[in-house]
Order: sequence, then structure tokens, then C-alpha cells
Amino acid sequence: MTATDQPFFSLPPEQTSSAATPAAPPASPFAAAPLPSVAATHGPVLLAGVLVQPGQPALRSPDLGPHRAIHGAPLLAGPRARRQLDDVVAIARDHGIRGRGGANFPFALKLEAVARERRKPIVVINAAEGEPASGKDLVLLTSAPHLVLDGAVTSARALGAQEIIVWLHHGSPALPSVRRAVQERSIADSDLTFRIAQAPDRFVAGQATSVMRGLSGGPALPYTLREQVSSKGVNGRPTLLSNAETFALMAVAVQHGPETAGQLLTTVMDERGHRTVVESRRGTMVTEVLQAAGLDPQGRPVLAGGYAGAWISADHLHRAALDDLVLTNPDVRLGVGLFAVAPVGACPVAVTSFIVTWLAGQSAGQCGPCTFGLPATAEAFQRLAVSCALPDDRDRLVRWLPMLSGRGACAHPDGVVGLVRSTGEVFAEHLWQHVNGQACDGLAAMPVWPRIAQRSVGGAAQTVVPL
Amino acid sequence: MDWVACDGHGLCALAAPELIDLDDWGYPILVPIPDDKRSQALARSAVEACPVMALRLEKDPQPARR
Repeated sequence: MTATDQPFFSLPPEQTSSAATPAAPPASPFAAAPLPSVAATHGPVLLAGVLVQPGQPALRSPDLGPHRAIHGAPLLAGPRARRQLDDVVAIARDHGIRGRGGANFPFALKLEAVARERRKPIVVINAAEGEPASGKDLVLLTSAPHLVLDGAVTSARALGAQEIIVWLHHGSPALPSVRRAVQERSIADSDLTFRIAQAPDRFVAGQATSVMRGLSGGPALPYTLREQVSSKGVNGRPTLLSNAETFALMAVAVQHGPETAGQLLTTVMDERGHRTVVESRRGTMVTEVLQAAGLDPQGRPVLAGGYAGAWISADHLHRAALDDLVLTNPDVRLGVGLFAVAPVGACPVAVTSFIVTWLAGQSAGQCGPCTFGLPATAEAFQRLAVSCALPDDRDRLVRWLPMLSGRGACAHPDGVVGLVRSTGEVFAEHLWQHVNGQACDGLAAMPVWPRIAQRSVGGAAQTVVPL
Repeated sequence: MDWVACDGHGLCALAAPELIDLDDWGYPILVPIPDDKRSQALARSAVEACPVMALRLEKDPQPARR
């Protein structure tokens, strides 16, 4: 059928014309999940104008005009912008803005570190929300991308940076809204250049050093840091890298003033995997946040902080308030602000086993303890989950956990260790039953959570197959 | 310690068995080196033994990962 007189390397005409309308990106697991609903415990600021009805998805991103009407404008361009650096740093400090990607690092310190460098810095918005259950950055980027860009624009101008990069998962559902916002800003803020870079769909791709390596032309994998990102980041240049919500918080602080200090977003996920992003304020009781999402845990197992977070006891949950680092217990961190509620009677050991197995598979395979230790831990935990533990599985876990934390280029194994340890703290009695080989009927009531659901609730019969 | 570079050859533990243990997967478990001449020399030999140069001797432990 193909004529041999056709030019060998050029496409047939109908295919060249279709290149004008970009083809749909390949299906990504991120695209499959529906957009989270939104709610608020206080008057919304980050979600102002887009949160219309609690419990429903937020409105799509407003254009720049309506956005400005709600949120005002960022720090203006011009020679005076750099002289306002001290003010911007002071605002970040006074508002107590911390990295909302999970590490909680004070944003003011990052700004100062980059400002100390003499070379021209780059600003990177980390929007690769690796936590499969977290939806807060997705909501921001689909509903208020200009707010995120405002914070980046203010930071860039104060630091004298000219380039802003948005680091986003490949095929992210936020891509169209971010692309549109970036196009508008390229005209409105022509002193800056904006670029979208797409990250591979992988848990550790959002890790700070992965972002740096990916943007500098390497694989998006963590590496051992010799120099701080703030002084040697993208292509060796000083880099201000922070999470999307952190930049939005910065915009809110600069453009709305001190009464908005302490706003933050959390994600509440129910047993069926439905997510609600709740805007609230630091110090809000966690039960209030869950209530805003229409959930009352009533003694069901609750996972806090993220998949690499920790289980939280019912008693602890009722006393816990949203706080920067800890929820009144140093082992339970706010992380990316996820609260996932498992079904009544679900076996937390089995749920943990699924999560640990998934996390182990997300290892970049670079550092030994993570490459070999996580799968070994996951396997031991799988045996525990189905009450078929080997006689020395508990001893192994006890020995392995300290061998995993702090021994890698990134904190991925530390997250797994934290999750496994929390099972021992919150569900010790239940865990012993599994160790002793007692059957557990909680295996029938598994949550339908992203990335672990296809395993836990397989076909028609809800049976859990030992992996 | 450059965890990405380390391939678990284990030569560091052979060079300085008093200082370095290996974990269940053959990767070194590092401890702060005591401030005496013999330990320092042992540590240096461990660093030199590493075929992929994954070890370095530093005055202070690295500041927290960022």
C-alpha cells in the first residue's frame, strides 16, 4: 500500500496536519482519579472565589482578571522590587510559612539562603504531588494556579530571578489550567519567563534533589547532596525550590495581610477513596477538619500525614490539632496534610502491608538499604498481614527498621519506617494477633485507596491474595 | 556517605572492622569516628578502600538533608 516513491522520513500529509492540534497525553493514573471536593473550616482565602459549595469540586481556575479582583497583585516589577526582599522575608517569617510539600522547612530561611548567593537564581514551583492520596496541590493548580504563580512571581522579583519553572507530573490533570495561567502571565509579567517541566510519574520524582537533577538534564531521581539546592540547584544555579501550596501561602501573606496567617490545605480521604481538600487554619482540631469533609471516624483507623505518614489512635485524634510539625505526638507529622479514614473493621496491618508494598516498589533503586531493605520489610509485613509470619519475622522487622532510617539519598525509607512503627504503637495488640497466627476478619473490609485499591479489592470476591 | 554510589562491596568493613559493621544487605553502618589517632587512621583506610569512592571523612556530620 505504501508507495515506494514517498519520501522516507516525512510523515503522510494527514498526520502532519493533526500535529497542529496536540494529541491527548497518554493516560496517566493521575488523570483517572476524579478531582477532589473542597470544603473549609474557616472563611476560605486560598480557595476564595472557587469554593462555592462545600463538598463539591472547586470551580475551574478564574482568568487573571477575576483572580486579581479577589487576590490583588504580587510584588510589582521594577528596580525597587529587590529592595523589598527584606520585607518579603519578614512576611514569610511572621506568617510562619513552612514548606507544605511535607518537610515543613521555614520558607523565610530558604529565601534568605538563596538571597545570599551572588549569581542570578531560578524559582521552581514543585507541583509534582507524589503522595497518591494528597489532592491539595491538584486543587490549587486546577482552581487557583494564578495564586501559586503570584507567590513565585513575588519571590522571583524580590530575589532578582528571571525564570520560573513549574515542575508537574506528566499527564497531570492540572496541566491545561497551569498552561493557560502561564500563557496569561507570560504577557502580564513579561519581565519573567515561565516554563512548565513535566516530571515522570513516580513517587520520588517530587523529592527536592530529584527535581534538581531532572531539571538539569538528568533522570528525576534523588542524589546525595554535597551542596544545598539554594546555592547549587538547577544547572548549578542558586534555586528557590518549594511546593506549590507554599508559594500560594506566600501570595496570600503578601496580598491579604497578617489576618490570613496560618491558613493551610489538608486532604481528607474516606474509605472509598473520595477526597475532600479542606482549607483550615493552623491550630484547628483535626476532628473539625474531618467534619468539614463530612467524616466522623468513630474509632476507625486513621492514617495521618500521607502514605509515608503514621497511624493515629482514636484517642490521639480527638486531641490533635493541625500543627506545623507534630500533632501533639512527635511521631505523627502533618506531612502533606493527609487524613485517610479506613473502613469500620478494616485490618490496619493489611492496609499497611499494601501501602508498604507500594512504597517499596517506588524506590528509585539507587541506595542499598532502600533497594533491598524495603522489599524485605514489605515481604515480612505481607506475611504478617495474612497471619502467616515466619517465626523470626518480628525480630527481623525490629532489626531492620533502624537499618533503614537515615540511610539514603532521600527520606523515602524513613517514611516507610515511620508508617511501620506507627502500626506497632497504635495497633500493638492487633499486630501481636497477626504475629501469633490468629485469623483476622478485617481483611474483608479494605479501603479503596489510590494505588493500593486495585490490589486490595480485586474482582467480585473481596479476597486478599498474599502477594 | 554517598548512598547512591555505594554498591555494598563491603571493603570498608574489611579495612576497619572495629568501626564499620555491615547491615543484612551488605551496606555499611557508619558511626561517628572517635577522636583518636588509631581510629582516624582506620577511618582513612576505610575511605581509601572503597572502590567507588562513596565514603568521605568529614569534620562534622553533614547538616540535615534538605
